[in-house]
Amino acid sequence: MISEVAIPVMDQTTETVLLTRWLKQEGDAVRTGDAVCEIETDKATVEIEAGTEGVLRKTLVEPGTRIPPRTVVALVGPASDIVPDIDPDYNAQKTTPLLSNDNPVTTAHAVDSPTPAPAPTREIRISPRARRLAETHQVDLASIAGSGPDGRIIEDDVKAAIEHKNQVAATGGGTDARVARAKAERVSLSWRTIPHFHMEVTVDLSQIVSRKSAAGSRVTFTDFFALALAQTLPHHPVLNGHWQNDAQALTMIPAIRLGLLVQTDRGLVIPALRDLRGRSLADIAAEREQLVNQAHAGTLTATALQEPTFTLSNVGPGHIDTFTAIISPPQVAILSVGSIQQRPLVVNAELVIRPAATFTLGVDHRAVDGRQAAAFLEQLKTNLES
Amino acid sequence: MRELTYAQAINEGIREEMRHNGKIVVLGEDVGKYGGVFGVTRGLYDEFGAARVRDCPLNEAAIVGCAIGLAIAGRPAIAELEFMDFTTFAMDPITNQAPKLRFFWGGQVSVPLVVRTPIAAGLGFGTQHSQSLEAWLVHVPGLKVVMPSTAYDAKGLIKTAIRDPNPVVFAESISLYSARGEIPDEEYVIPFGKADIKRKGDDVTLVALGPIMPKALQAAEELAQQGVDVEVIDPRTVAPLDIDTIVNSVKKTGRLVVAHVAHKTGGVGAEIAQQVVERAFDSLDGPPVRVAAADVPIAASQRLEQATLPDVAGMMKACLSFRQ
Repeated sequence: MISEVAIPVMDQTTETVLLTRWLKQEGDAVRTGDAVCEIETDKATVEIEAGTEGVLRKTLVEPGTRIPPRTVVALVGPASDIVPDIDPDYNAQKTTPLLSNDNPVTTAHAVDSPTPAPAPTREIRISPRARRLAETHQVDLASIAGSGPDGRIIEDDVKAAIEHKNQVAATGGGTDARVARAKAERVSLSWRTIPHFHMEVTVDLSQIVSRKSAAGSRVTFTDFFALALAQTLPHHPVLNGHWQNDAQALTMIPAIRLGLLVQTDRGLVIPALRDLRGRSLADIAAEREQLVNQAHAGTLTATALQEPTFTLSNVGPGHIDTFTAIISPPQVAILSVGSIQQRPLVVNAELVIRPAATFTLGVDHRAVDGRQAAAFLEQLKTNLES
Repeated sequence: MRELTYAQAINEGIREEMRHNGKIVVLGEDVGKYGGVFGVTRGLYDEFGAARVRDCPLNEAAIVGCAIGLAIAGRPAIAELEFMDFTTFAMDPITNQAPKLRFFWGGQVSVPLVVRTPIAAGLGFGTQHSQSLEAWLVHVPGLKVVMPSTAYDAKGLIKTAIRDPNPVVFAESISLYSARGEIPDEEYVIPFGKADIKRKGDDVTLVALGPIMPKALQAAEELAQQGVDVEVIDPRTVAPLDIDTIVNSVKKTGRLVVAHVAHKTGGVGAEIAQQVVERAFDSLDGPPVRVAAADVPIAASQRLEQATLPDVAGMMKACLSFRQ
């Protein structure tokens, strides 16, 4: 069976990535998880891994080419299977894989039950007029948000995308410019489309502070917060998911992929930890350390750049009392943690001084109501203080 | 230029043609001395006499049947049926005889017949006096169906209808009879199959038939206040239909709304929408939308009737439906 290696959709705003080099050549044996090629996104250099074992039968894209997410870049499979002729662009344009039971390439290839496309694909609703215009100007439909009924892409949306493309072409686009632009787009989209509301709670962190000093220097407060979120979020599934603009509905996601806001020299990055459920503090700390290092070095993997389900923004040491980070779409919540400072707190009717921080939860009001946000914060506070 | 009402304009058109052609005969219930139930034939009896302006018994089948006989015999005939609903009594002569005789007699006869009949929608006339049945008629090859919406169009089109050697159903609008419009002093005719763009616009194409036209123009003006520029097209004749003008407009705007007072299911709106889809699919920025009467009998209660019929708000909503 021949399987595709495709560029995953890492976030909503990446229109194209640069394929920088091949790490395996045609004829090389590959194992599942082997890096096959390297791409550069607006945010990082990413290695693309093979999803199956076999031989790298064919590479479909030359190094130095810019390609949209979902592009099939290589085919992997047994040395004896016949390699079908495929257009590398097809997966970027169509929502169903060419190599499928419904749509076999030809019977001679005998391709059966392929690996599903690694990226989540969405059905593109578009008017015939908009489609024709997009084709004429070679606009990537996957990058356009439709403003018609039920999210249908209409002519005005394509016109806007063309204008945007032209502006980008006019302003040029080094990596830094692309990173800045991607961030600008993302925060604008968030602010424009998400009806935020915020709720805050002050948490006595004396227990966490004493546990942290026992845990060793490699464990940070962020790791404790991540652990607390791993314990709290499963009870509040509405906060852990993605808002589907097409359906105007929330998709709750069981896995907790916590995004960590990392400020790097190249700009803001939000790598995601692997599913936090059932993981130990040490395990989380080790992965967090690796992610942050990779984020600064610009070597994050595609897995780490997949869309998180919830984001934590921890401002770190200093004197910032509170702040309200904006949500990173399509997520529906973000937690902003102020600096840990000695604060006067009332404990058992006595005024005491304790290390404390204010946790501000920002939520998308389309998906989450105040009662749900409050219940989550209450439980998070309890978990952090006990 | 003078101002005439829609009813007066039709009257003047008939009068001019009757002066041109001494063979033309008018038939109908109370079309003589009384001048027609809505006054459209007023004065014709006095000018042309009882031989050419003939009162008939209450029998629509007989009126149209006689008119066909006269037409075949070389006397162009104008039959008036008091309400479009009453065409049902004359369906055999209108659909089974008039449009077919020339065909099956191999061109040996022509049928210069005009069936004038008004649409009463919106006036509280009740279930059997309020229908707009043009869809029943355009389905029959050989019938021409005219639906004027202004005094000017009504006069130019009635003259063309009378001169046509083939049968024409001329669907007037009672709600427009008293609407005034400028009429040139000199004679003019308006060809069939030529739509009129009543208002230019770039954003949405709104095709409106007959009696709903004033409301369509009102909807367009209100939408203009909201920055939506609606092009309002009056096909004027639904058979033959000037689909080219509609298609060209949709190629520009990408959006089509069709409005008529007839019921939605099986209406002319569906036909127009489908022809546009066939001809301009790639130009459409959204599915065509029909604004029409609900698929229920029209009530005698005017409140219920208004709830059933398409209105300005409905057309505005349809024109805005292409966005979220």
